Amino acid sequence: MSKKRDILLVVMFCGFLGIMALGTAFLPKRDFSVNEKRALEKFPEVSFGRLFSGKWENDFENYISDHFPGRNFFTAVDSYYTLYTGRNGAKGVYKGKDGYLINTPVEYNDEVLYDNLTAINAFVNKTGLKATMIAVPTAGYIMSEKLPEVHKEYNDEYIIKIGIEKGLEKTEFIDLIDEFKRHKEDMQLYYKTDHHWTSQGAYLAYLQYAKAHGFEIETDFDIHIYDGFYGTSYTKSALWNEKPDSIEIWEYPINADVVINDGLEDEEYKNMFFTEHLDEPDKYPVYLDGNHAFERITNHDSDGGKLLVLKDSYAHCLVPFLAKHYSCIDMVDLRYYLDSVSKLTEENEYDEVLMIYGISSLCESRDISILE
Amino acid sequence: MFLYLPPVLGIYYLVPRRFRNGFLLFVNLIFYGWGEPVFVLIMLLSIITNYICGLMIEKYRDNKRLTKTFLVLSIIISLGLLGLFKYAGFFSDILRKIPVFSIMPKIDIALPIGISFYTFQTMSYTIDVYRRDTKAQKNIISFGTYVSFFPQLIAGPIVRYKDIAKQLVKRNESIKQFADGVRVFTVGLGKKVLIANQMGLLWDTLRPSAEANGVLGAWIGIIAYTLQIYFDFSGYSDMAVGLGRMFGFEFMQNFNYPYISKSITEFWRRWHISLSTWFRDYVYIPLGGNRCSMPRHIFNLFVVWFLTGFWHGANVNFILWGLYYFVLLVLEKFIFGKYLDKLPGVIRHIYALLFIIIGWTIFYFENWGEFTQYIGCMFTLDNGIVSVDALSVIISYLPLTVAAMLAAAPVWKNVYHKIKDKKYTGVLEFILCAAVLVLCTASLVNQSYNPFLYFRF
Repeated sequence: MSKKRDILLVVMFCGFLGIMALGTAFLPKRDFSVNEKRALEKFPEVSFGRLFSGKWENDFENYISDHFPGRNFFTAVDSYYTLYTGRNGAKGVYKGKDGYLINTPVEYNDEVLYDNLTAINAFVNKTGLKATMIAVPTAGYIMSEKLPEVHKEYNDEYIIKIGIEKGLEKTEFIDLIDEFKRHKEDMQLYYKTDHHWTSQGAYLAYLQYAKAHGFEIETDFDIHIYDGFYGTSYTKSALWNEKPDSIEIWEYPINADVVINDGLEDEEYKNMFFTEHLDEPDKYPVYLDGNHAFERITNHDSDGGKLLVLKDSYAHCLVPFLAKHYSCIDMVDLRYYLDSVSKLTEENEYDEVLMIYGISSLCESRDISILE
Repeated sequence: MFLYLPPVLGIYYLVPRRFRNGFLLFVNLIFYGWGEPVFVLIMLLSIITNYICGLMIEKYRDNKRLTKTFLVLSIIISLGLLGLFKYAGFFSDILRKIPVFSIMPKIDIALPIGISFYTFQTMSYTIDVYRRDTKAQKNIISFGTYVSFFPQLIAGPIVRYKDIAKQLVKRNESIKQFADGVRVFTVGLGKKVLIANQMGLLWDTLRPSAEANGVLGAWIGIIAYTLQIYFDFSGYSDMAVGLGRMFGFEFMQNFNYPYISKSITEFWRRWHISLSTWFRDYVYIPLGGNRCSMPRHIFNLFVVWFLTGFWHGANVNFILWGLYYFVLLVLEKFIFGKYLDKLPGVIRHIYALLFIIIGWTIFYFENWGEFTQYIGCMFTLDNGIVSVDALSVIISYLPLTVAAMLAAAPVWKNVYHKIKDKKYTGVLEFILCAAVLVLCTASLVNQSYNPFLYFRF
């Protein structure tokens, strides 16, 4: 082996390590990651106690990994390497056909679903409210032809028709599966880079709900289309080369305002669409400003009833349609709402309750089971 | 890795030779103290006591009783530290099951990293000094550097003092050795990050749903674990050897393609060599080895394999795992070894791998119920051949699994040796090393998933 070869190798190795070290030490640090939607770690405070207990070292490592030079580049390298060595879906997202990034199937757990439904049944019985449930099937199940050849099974049909529909007692269940399958060719029901349904998908659900309630359906929309929407599946997959979606806002004449409360003070807004989020890569929070513990939508022109919505983020896209038919809609997100919902129903005379959940929330998370 | 290694390497080569050991000792202690600063004290205690014992043994060479006393003292300290930090919880849990002792408090001591490795190193040192196999180290800094050397601190190899005594005093670091170090280190890093971690993911995906996966799923799962544990461990060893070379040290090879063995006896000559030789030289042979009556020979083997198993962790399953190998080795030695030799190679490979794989199930499951359940999944058809979900996972990991299997046999190594002196190999090697470094960095950046399998040791 020649000496030149050895020298080259040593230079490469030391160069690579050196550049990384210098980059970590001297590149400017950002406070916030747009891709990950979270604040990045700050430089940990030095103190003797923290140093000696190993706490500082731990924080320091988190700080370094958050501010690693070329972090986006390296995540992409890893994602594409993983993809092209056969492990599509290893990061929880399949790269499907036609630019679809589709979440892998939900981890179905009998017990979690049972606990959640039991809490819902108990709540409906206790309050005596008229109740409806909309469970949104996953994109992987509905758009199965867009999945890669090798993929895990999507059990939505079983979960929805056997698990949820049979498990609910005095709650009317709106089944979207058949309707979605019928329209999946002529409408785009799901985003390609996000796990949520589109306005078109939510509109189909609205039609079903309105029909069941005998509402006069709104059909006259002013549709605005915005490009450059990179959703959660895009972020999760870290396949930065995928094309963005466009997101639609379906406007109709309504005189509604929104009050948001995350446990402290009320904040008031004049519109259900928060267009400032259109400047961000993830534009889904344009609907009702994304996740909040409590939101109240008041329609000043309606003499309809009062609706309580228990929901996850799928509701944000649907509720603006419903606002036309209710004088007041209160949305509660059990992931963040810490008070008793029964207490809320006692204070506000609701006419009915609607639950809007993606099936992953019903099967995977226990947040609903704390409902009381 | 990126903030520690560059300055350490850089300064190491800037410092005059005579200060290099001191510098290494200093950075070793920083490395060791990084996660749990308190444990540095234990290491310092171990260094100082063994250093003194070594000196005393040599000084009072003529006084047999005194030398023996110091040897025993040093072994008691080493084993005492190991016993206290690694095994106290285990024994107290057993004692507490006996009614009289049930009031005893539960002992829950955190295990200092690498304690199993460095206590074995210090023991080998004093024993070797006692046996006159090596001279005592007069310089505590050099001795400390030996005990605490960061590349092999966490996962071996267990370096014997006499093997590197000369290197501690005089090293001739060279470009060639450094470049070799880069090669071996990169291979080790790739083994750990690109193969072992991924096989670990496959195992973690298949294991929880073993009952639904079918028999093929169960086998692929444990094969993934078999690959994971080898690439994890040998990857760390390679990194240690590679880093050692960058600092001018030469360590022994710790693994020699164990999975191509044709018998269990051969497997243990190829697996974790530094540990097996340690037990051979310091336990088996002093007990009389094989030069004694057959029952005594079997007893010696029993002791060695009991201890080998127990060394791997303070739990019953590790002891069982050691005794499992004791039984297999005794059977091979005294009963069917001679028949085995006559069988065709393929069958001997299958035989060895089958028992190695079953061995890893014993090694993995600490809980007897989980163990029998998993073995059940492997040997019954109750759950079908393979489920759709398991099959999709297996297929997606197939390219990597095949590549790993090839790497577990010396396939890539042979290719490399064939083309080693060709002109283009230099370029190829350069590109491959760079690619592995980038991919490993990417993988480490992307996933916090980086469990270390050998933390118990």
